Amino acid sequence: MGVRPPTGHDVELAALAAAGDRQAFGELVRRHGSAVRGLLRRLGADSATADDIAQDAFLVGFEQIADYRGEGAFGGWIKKTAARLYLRKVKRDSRFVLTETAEDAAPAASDGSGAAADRMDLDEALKVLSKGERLCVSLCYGADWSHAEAAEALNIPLGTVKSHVKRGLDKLRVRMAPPSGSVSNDSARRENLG
Amino acid sequence: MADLDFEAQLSRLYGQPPVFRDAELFTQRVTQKLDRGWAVRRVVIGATGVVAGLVVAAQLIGGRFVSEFSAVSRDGVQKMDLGLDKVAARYDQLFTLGGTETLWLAAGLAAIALAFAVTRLVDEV
Repeated sequence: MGVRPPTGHDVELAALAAAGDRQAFGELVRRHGSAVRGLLRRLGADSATADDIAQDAFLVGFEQIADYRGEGAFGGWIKKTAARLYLRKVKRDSRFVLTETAEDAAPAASDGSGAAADRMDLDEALKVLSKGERLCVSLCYGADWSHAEAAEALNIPLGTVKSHVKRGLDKLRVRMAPPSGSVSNDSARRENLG
Repeated sequence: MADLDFEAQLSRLYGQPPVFRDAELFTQRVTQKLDRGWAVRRVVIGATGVVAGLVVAAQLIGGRFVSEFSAVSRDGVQKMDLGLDKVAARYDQLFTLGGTETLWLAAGLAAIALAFAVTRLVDEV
């Protein structure tokens, strides 16, 4: 007979983990592991790097679990930790230059065809963003960072973060917009209902 | 309004994590790393305890030896005129009375610390 995993709210599990209960923390990893791995990929990390950083984030999270007082969601807290670790790696590797470039200013790619499912696929849509835009949009909407927090962490001006986010959102809006046919169908449906 | 709708939709999409087929494997890897780190930490703490125990034992022996030796020296100076025979006798006393007790006590402490460390190591590995 195996040991049953602990149950309960994230805050309760975090309190147990803070007292040294590794099983409770394991349950938190089970619940939030995919979200953290997904966020890191959406920030721009490749699969292997994303998983390595996600593991490190949870290990750091266990070390610092006493700092989590349940004021926000545990998922948000651990995602912020993961994003911080990823940014540290990005800066260390100097892989990305987050200044405005011609690539950043390029208009969003609009394929004009493709299934609605593909259009709604966030991960696919993120591919049309520049690295800087992708990072800023994912930090602000995926890790719930404010623009100011992102600017400070990335060590770039606040205005640059706002530009990246705005241009990123514009591109995503175009990329993820429902096909014109479905819009007219929706309108027709609404008119019929009305 | 449309902007706000889109941003809300985006936040919602970000909130939906992708499904990973190896999610359970990832959890296992993290918990194994946690367990390994915990085990290493306990072994390090145990080893630190052993070293500290040995240092204490060494201090105990050394302190006893120094105090006894200084007492012998003082007495020796005072009783220089009484002759070297008495000093030699006192020096012998160091090893026959208090010194021997201290030595056994220190050895006992070291043995307990070593046994504790070995038990912990076997337990962890």
